Amino acid sequence: MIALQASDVSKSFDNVNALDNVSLQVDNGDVLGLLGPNGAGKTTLINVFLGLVKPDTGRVLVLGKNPIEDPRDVRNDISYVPELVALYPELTALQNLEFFNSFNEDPCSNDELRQCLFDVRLNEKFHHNKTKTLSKGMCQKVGLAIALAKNARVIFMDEPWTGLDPESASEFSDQIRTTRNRGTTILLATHDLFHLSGLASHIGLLRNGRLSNLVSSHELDAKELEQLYLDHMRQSD
Amino acid sequence: MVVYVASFSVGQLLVFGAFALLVCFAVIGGVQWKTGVLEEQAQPSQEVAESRAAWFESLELSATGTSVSPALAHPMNLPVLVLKPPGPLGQFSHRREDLHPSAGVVNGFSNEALIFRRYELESPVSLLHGGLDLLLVVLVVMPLALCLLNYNHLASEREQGRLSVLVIQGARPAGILFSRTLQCSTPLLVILVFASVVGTVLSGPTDLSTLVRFILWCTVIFAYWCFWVAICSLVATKCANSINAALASVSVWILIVVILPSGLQFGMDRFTESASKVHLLALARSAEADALGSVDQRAEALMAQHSTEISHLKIEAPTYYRSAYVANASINDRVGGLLDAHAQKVKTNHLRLDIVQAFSPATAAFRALQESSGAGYLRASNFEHQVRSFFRHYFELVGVATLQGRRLTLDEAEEIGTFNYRESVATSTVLSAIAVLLVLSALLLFHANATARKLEVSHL
Amino acid sequence: MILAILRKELHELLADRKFRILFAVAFLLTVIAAMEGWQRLAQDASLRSEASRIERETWLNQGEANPHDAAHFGRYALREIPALSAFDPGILDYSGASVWLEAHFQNPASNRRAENRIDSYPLASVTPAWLLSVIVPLVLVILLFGTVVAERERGTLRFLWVQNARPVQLILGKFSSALIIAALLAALFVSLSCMPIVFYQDVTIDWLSVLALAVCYFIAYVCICGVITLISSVVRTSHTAFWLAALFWVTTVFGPLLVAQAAKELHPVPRDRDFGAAIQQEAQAPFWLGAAQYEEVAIYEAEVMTRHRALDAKELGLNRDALVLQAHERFANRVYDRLYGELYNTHVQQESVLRSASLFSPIFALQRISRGIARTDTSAQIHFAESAEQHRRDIIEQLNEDMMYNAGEESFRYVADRDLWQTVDDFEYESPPLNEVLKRYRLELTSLVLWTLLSFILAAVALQLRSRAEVK
Repeated sequence: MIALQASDVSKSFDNVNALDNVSLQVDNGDVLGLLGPNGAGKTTLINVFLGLVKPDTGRVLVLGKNPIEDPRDVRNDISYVPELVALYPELTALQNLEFFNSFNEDPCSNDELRQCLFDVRLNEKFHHNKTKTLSKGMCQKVGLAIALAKNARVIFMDEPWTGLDPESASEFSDQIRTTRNRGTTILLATHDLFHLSGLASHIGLLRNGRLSNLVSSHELDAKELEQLYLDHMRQSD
Repeated sequence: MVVYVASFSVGQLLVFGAFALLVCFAVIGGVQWKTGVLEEQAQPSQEVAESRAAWFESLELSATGTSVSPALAHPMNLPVLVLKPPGPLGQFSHRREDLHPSAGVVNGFSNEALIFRRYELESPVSLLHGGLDLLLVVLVVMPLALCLLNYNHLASEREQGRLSVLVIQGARPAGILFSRTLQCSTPLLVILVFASVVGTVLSGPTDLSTLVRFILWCTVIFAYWCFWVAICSLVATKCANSINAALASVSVWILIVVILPSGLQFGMDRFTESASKVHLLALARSAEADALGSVDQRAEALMAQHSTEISHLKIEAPTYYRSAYVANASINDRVGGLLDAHAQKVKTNHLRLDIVQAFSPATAAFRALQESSGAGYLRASNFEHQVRSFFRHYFELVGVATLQGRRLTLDEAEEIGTFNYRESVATSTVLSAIAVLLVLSALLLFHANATARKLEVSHL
Repeated sequence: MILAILRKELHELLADRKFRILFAVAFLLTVIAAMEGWQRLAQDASLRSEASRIERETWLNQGEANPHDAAHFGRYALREIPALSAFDPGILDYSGASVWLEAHFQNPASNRRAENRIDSYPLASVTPAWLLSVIVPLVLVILLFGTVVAERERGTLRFLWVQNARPVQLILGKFSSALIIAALLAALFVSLSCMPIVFYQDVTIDWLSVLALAVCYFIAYVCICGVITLISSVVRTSHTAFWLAALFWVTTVFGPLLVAQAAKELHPVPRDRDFGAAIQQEAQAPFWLGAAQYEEVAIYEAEVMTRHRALDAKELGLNRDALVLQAHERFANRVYDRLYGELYNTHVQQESVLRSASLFSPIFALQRISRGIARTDTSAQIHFAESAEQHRRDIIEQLNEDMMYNAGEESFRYVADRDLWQTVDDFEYESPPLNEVLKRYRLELTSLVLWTLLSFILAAVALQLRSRAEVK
């Protein structure tokens, strides 16, 4: 079954093309990695799927539903981990999780929420720390826990590794992998080739709003992916 | 030389415009108020002058031996107008001037408790709110406008990471701060001084003493402006982001303009009990009753004090005049001491405030501005004190004649004379306030400069 | 969900260091102001009661006198000190504390407390009502200006939308927390401010009024929270939200100064001299020097005859001088009703201007209602002056009638004694009941409720629109 579908999606801001006839399709349980430099249109594409940006032309479907026309229905089944996870600094990690979880249709119990935090490997001693005292990596973990607690069928992640130290980045990749293994569809936007190569089932290359390549990651190893990326960038120049 | 200043933003121009509008409103209101009071005071002056002229005419007639009705030119009926004219620069601080008595007519039927009993026609709520005068604009609005214009000079640079770049390029944070602060603050000072000049010119001819007051007024404004420029500079150096700078500015404004003066006033009210009007009324009332119950005895006692005059006693004083005089003398005995003590207390408190005002710069500025313009309670108290002194002298002369049942001689009537309010400026209050404000400004600027220097180091 | 937002809001607030500091400062200031209010009430009430005692003794001990002389000697009506003036002195300091009740003349109230205040800094009046209506709203401004906009800046708002939160839920959650904060602040601060009054035995507290005060402060705080939430929902940055909220506070606190000045200009009170001259020319001269006396005395005489079913005044042995005096009172009273009616009407018109300003400023509306409930407003002062005047008319009529029926041929030589003085009642004043006060301030109350509802509805709409607008 198709989880995410974009057909000829274009979007421009102030005459600058953020997305230019983008079409893609992601099956259930797949992980699509969107690669591209800054300003390539990765975040815009995620925002289109989230229903936060309306495309000028074309249409997108999330689990068969249009996020612009039917945002509430779509948002029941999706979750989002932004580049900088926005949490309430005066609340603890657990309180933040409880708060965001309260908007779910079927909220988790406190024990389940704690388990989510364990699942994302947030050390228990940080569960009751105010998030203003947590590092960026820890906040990312809390963000992922929020997504997990929602039991979302599709998770969008925007630059999840940016700003994380290597150990945290590696841990975070493991958690994404675990989530993927549960059958959750994931759309990842990043320019981190290294972490993406082992995770994504498909990789799309974006440049100036155009999706030029959409390849299966099984066809490429990390080195080939890097080469492809660099070639693609040069071509675009 | 690095040019730090830029042209004014729309927001800043709006602040200047709104400020100028308020200043304009305050000055026009003040000039209108002063003109109105002078007009109002001129009318009773004329009436009393006519009545005095008729009284003197009758006295002169009687002195020439012409038969004049006993009711005419009676000593008790000699009217004297007591007026407190608006302060020389009262148009700048008229906000609650209507509260204090500024006119009255003294005659033999007056007593010290009730010299200024008058119709209270003003709505109390308008007295409570008071009007908008230039003093209030200087005291409250100018600091707020300065905070609004200056809080963000460094915070925005720091927030957006530009300060480091500027410092590396050779700019000095202190230079950026002070040049921008001066650029944004000077227009307010110019508006205020210009408005003061216009307000003074519009209010009529200016003599030397008014000119001195004007210089004092402008100096206090300048000192208070300096103080706030220094405060704003310090706040700007202390806060790393705009929102904290804004919060700090408003908090400092509230603290200095509202909380500290309120605390000081609260303390002064607590430790200095003022004479209660109701208490004075009760004293006067019981004195009046006592006097009426023993008019004869008290009259004898009073006459005994004036034994020399009694030897010249020709006719018995008519009961009506005598009893009125005696009752009022009795009231004066009871309340005079209390009023004197109160006046003394006012002076003592004023001196105390000269010292403690250092803890509340806004109070210092308020008192200095009020003093230099000629308004406020101290002036009202001085006026009442002068009127009471005049009245005692008047009452003494009138009393002797009344008890002796004779008219005043022309010499005695001339000796009573007329009342003229003697203006005075509590120079010590004004100068000490200026000193306090300037010293505080210097300290704050020094501190702001030191903090800005630290910023320079930390950004390198 | 709303509960979760509510819990989150309260949690954030309690965890905020700013809140704890500001709350502590406001608490401390309120305690000081409450003690000051109590002390002031105690002092004023004791001075008033001492003055009343002296006044009564003076009246009773005036000795033998003609009733008309006694009417000239007069009495004083001293204003009661309302118990809640310890909470909100309102205009008390700026209005006369006593009215002299004498024959022939209605006098305005005199002896204002403010005249003897050593010096008064323009903004300094540490009273509980001032703190609660000026400083607490400022605290709310500082605490809540970022309530929505800070969420936007942090990104949590976007995160919430993706979590499927609805703008209405968010606003309702914030509204509920505002209700709780407002209820706590109003209950705590009003009871704290009124606490010391309980310990003062000489005054009776109308607890219903205290409750009404607490409710009004509660509504006003909710309203202020609503306005700040609205501002925070509409603007794009915390920065702008802060300055707009601060501007709202400054305007609503200082705006009344300008409005009061405008009210004075629009409805000027007569000058002392003109008013005095009008009284002389209209209430005195036409009767004593003009032609009005004949007709007025004839009407009054006819009334007295009818009352006693007599044909002739001589038959009743009425003293004609006293009859004339009372006829003058009746004549002059009609003039006073008009002249003072016009004067009070001017005050009421000035009040109307201020009242209309309260439509634009919830803080000002609150201050007006607070004064009303504390019975320290202009209406209470006019009510006192009118009650005192009624008392004067009763006293003078009683004295004139005594002379009319008992003086006979002795006329002004007739003297009465303590027995008569004792029958003259002391002035007793009853302040208007609460329902009357609330009725008078219905516009202000409506203004508060409207502001509250509108601000929250608009905030919800603004947030809804913004959440849609964010779909670029």
